[in-house]
Amino acid sequence: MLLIYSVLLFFISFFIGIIAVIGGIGGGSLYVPVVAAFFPFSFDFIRGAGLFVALGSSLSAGPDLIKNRFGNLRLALPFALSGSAFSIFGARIGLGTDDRVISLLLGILMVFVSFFMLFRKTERGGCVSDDEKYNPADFFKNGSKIRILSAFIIFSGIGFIAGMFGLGAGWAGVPVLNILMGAPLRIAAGTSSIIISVNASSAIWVYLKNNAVFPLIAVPSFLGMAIGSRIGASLLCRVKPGFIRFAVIVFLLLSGIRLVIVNYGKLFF
Amino acid sequence: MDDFNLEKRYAAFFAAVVKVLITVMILAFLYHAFRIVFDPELAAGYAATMLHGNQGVESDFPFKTVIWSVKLLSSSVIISFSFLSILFFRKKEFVYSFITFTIVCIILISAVTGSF
Repeated sequence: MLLIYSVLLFFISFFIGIIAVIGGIGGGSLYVPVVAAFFPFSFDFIRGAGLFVALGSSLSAGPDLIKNRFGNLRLALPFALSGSAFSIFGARIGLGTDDRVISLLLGILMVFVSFFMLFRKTERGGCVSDDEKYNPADFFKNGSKIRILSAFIIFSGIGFIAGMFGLGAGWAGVPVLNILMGAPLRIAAGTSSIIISVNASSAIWVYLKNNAVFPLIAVPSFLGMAIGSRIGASLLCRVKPGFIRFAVIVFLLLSGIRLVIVNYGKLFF
Repeated sequence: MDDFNLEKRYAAFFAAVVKVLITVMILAFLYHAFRIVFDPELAAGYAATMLHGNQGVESDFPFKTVIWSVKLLSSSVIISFSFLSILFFRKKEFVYSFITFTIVCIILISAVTGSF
């Protein structure tokens, strides 16, 4: 039974890895709500695995992103600083709060994310060779101070959410870097991945301390996600993302609604 | 050393560390899974833990190895960011060197108050 769950998790994560990349959302953001909504595991383990999936995938992708100049270290570092500090607080608060409350909040967050994705402008950066001359140092020096400050505050919030729910939260980081910091979409996606790796590195220690990383859940999920994301990335230029993006939104919405209904019932009835 | 060289050196260092750790983790996991197949008592304990949270099951050697490789994976960020901080310092980009150093400190604080 135990290993059947592990194998099942591997295939689910593999599938999530493929559609998450094509759908333009981080794998961790889809993994946690889907597994929490449809598997009977302890929620702490699911969040720990989600964070581990986000950490492992972003660390494996990091070197290639930097080498190919998709990830910009100078843009990532200041936001990784604020995000990593807040991810520790998020993780501590998340693990210290009743699972039903956190699951309910996650459900509400996922309903919000699905609507956010539905109404967000659907730009894609995977196949276009757009502006590579973006220089964040110029933006930090001469850009609007309000936009930079807003980006800092939002990344602190992203770090908090990442720690609390075990998500990568790339869905939030990419638009902030793209819209507020003016980074081209490809660079925004690569840089967001570097920020996620730093946020997750800080928060995962809190989960480890609370024995919330369970290898039989975390490792197959990570492997499935890593392989699935690579296949998803290779398919990125060949498939039309419209339908898959819609499927991702539906998955998120269904998982969110299920989490809200189940945990609202557990809490109040 | 130009900007891209700095990032290339950092990326190469990081890639090597991460590859080794992920390989160790996968091998330990396979050994862990192999043991579970042949030890029903161990499997029952882990099944209860998986479904209901920490049940105080005594973790075996491969389980601990997987957990330690997760710890080392996170530590790889500490190591590579320390390396990056030195690279920035040598390039006289003191602000970035300081930011990187502060990130290392934050992760270290989390690690020290966490698991070590």
